[in-house]
Amino acid sequence: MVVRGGYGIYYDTSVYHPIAMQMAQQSPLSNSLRVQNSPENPLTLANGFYAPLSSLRNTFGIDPDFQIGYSQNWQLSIQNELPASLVLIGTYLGIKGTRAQQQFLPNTFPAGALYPCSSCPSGFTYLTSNGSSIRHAGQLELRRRLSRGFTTTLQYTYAKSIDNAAVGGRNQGGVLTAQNWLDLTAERALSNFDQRHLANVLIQYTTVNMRSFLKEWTFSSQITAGTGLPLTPIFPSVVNGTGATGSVRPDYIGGDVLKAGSYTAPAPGRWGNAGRNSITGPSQFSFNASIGRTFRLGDRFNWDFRVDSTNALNHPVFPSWVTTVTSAQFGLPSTTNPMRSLQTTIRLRF
Amino acid sequence: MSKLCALILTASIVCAQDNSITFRSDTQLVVESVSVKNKKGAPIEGLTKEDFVVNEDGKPQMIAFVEYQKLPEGATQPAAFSASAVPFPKIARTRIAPETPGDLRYKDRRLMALYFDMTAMPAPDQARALTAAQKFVRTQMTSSDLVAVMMFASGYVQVLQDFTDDRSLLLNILQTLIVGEEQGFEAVPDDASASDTGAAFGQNDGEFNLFNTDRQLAALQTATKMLGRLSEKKTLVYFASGLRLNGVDNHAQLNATVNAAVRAGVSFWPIDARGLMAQAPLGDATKGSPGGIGMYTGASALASASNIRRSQDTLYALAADTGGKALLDFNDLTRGIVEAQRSTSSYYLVGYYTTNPAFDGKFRRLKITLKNDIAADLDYRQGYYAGKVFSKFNSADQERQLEDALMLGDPITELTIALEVNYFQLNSVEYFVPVAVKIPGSELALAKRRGAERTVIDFVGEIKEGNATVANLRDKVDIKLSGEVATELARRPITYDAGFTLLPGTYTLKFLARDAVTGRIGTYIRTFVIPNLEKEKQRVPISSVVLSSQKVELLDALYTAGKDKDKLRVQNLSPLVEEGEKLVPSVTRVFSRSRDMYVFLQAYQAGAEPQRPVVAFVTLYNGGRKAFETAPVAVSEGSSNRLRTVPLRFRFPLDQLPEGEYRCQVTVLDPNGGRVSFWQAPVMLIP
Repeated sequence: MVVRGGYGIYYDTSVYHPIAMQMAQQSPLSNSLRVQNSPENPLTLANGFYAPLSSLRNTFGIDPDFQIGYSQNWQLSIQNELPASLVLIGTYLGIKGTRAQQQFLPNTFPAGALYPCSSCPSGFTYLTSNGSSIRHAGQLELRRRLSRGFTTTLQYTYAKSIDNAAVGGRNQGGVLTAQNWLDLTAERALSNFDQRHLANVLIQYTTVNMRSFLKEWTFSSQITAGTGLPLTPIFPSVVNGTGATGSVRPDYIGGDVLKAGSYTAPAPGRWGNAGRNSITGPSQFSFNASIGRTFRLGDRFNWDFRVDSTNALNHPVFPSWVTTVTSAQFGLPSTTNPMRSLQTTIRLRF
Repeated sequence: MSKLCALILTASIVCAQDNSITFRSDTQLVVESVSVKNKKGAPIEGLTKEDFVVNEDGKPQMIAFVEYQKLPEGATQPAAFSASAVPFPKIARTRIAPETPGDLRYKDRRLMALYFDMTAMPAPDQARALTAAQKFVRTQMTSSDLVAVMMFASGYVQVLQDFTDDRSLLLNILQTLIVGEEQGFEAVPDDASASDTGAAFGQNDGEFNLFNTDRQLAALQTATKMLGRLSEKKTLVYFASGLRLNGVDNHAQLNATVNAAVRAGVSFWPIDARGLMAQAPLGDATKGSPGGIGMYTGASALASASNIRRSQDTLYALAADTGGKALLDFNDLTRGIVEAQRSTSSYYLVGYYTTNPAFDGKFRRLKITLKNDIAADLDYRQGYYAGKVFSKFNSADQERQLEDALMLGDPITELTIALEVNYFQLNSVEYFVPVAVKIPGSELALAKRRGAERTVIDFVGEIKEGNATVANLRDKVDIKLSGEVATELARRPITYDAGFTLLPGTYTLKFLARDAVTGRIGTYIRTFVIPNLEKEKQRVPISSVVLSSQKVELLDALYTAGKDKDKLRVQNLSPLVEEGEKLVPSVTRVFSRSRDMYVFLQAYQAGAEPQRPVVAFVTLYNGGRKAFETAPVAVSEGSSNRLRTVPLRFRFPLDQLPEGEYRCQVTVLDPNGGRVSFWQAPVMLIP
């Protein structure tokens, strides 16, 4: 039996590039205008970008104390060798994210409320790094080590992840704009990638000791099944003082979270009370398979023949529901994952 | 080292004898080692040839003998320890010496090859692997063990030490290996655990990994092929820091490697040189942070853990499919070697004369079973490659034949070959060493009889100082067998000469020649000493003495290897060349009375100022009686360099002397310095 423990701190990387790109779009480097033809502001072909000075605005701002996020990972695993080339591995993994990116719309106010500060700048997003995340995961893995051409891995993961920000560098965490800029803790909810149960099966078999044309074919397949990813109910309205949409949530009045009737427009004067990521998306499933063989042409040349199949069972899987509460399709699937596809590869390696 | 080569038809006469009797045998003795173990893994003793059934390509074979080879178990005699271990200044590349079919060189021995995959081990792992190997050799190696050291580095498999039980030799080799060199094949992950390089478009590491893993596996296959030519059971202890297959793309090579090992009777005993790993979830500080969202979703940690497991899986597969066992997650790497050592217990040797006499070089599949329902696990080499006749050899076979012949301890005498080594001082440290090789021209008559228009003679020479090769030579000479040359060839020997520049010391020269038409080989081994003439204070420092019966014009050489530049160097460097004429060393020291005898040597007066005259003369003794003496030659002009080299040349007729054996003595006197030198050698006079 082998017990391993490990801890490490890892920083987000490549965070400045998207920020620099955004800043390059702000005045004085560049002017952003929203123009409309009107008697006061006539637009001509000669000058289509005429705008009164007051309408010049910035769309993005950044906290001068912005800092790079990092994650602390700690792991404990127990590995036990079993007969028949089997290995059983139990793993606990904890991840704490710090200084995650939070973005909000300053000086905005809910519909029906009074403008708290009409002279204050608004209409731009503001990026800070005060978010955090926490994830705990337990994983059980049964692995048949490769021998006689056969290997398989069965993995089950039980995990929960909570955050109040967009985590991850390289801009991979995406953008999360808070609903209420004065109450960022209200964004604390399940992470976008939170998947409670996830099972993964990987099988790979290469034919050995077979007659000529049957030998050395490799069959591999990967099956993934898991519970749905969380989704946020959205109330489609423009945030006051900005042109931004999508960050406003409805009021939840109880009942099935997947029924449009469980939500109403947010009460005047305050933000919607439905939680971020409060809907669990549809269950996920994928089945990919491939079969291939490498023909060895002497020592230097390899000729690969391979057929890969994505969604081999052609089973329809919906990645998410429609969560815009005013939509007639609310609670119904938005799209499906791609249908079955086969890809044949013939490759000469040398 | 400079190498100069020329081939000359010499005029001395060698008796041609071609009335030899040829014995031909068309049977091939095949010997297989079979380990027979019961279900508990203990060896079964007492089986006889009645208990075994051998099938070759499905055809039952008549077993000639079965012999039980008992290897001691438990506490045994430690292996010999000849001297203290000192790193070599330089490791010589060598080869696994082959054995001829039916000949078991390593009887009652355990063969273990320690194979270091340097390309895939970071420096700390290399150090751990080498330390473990040293510890094994020091403390665990027994007198039954023969250990070879192999290494994969710089893109090819090198044999650093052939199978030996000399522990000091092994320790020397292991100490000489330098940690930290030759890495670079470590797989760079291209998944969620990959470091973020910040580059918009990077190289696709996946493709590189694919080729690197293939190359590592192919190298392992090469190693098994080298070992496969020994019929004993072999264990290959494979040190690596994991080996990761990339998807399914490396499976073909993995299969090929495993199949080659099974065929060759090699079992892999991989040792994960990383030991027991407990690293931080996303890797340690040797690599950059993965950076992306994978750090928070657990994807990077999962990919990182899974990469480690997969890298161990390949080691496991290599072992499981070849009858070995992998040592994973264990810090005492020596244990892996000891396990490999213990796995080879006593075994049987089963010998039979194959019913398939064809020398076609094809693989013959073997199946060995037990009669009488004896429940046992049999482990043996699954087949062998039949011999080949020379005419069926491809270029690789031909090259291998030469290498094998050079490796063999015993000389091969299919082709008669004789050799003479001389030395001449060039400067205060270097000596020019001309090597003259003589092959009777009649040896090539066989090729001629087979109707060949021309033949090629391959020459391979190797000069070793102790264990290390200091110079080698590979050359071929194309000889026309028709017309005038052919008539000459029947009467005269062929002289091939080459030159090396060496330092004083004791050397072993092994020279090999092969006639490419018939495939016949001749080898010649000779140990020679180049004295340090700078330290010669008692006598007159002289070079070796060249006796000759012929001078040829350089342009008359039948064949001159190398380019014009080399020719110039021949003339500049070789003291045997004078005014466009070259003195051909006699090699055999048999002289015809009809020709003159030439004697040439050099005397040195390093640093003498002014130059002192040197007096020399040649005397021939017949049974202790002076038969002939030249007039003394006094030379007072030497070369202008520091050595003050004085050339001493003699030429005298032999027709006045009767035939018979003589002793030739050269006397060199330095009257002013009060020193003298003698040189003696037997010579033979024939009509």
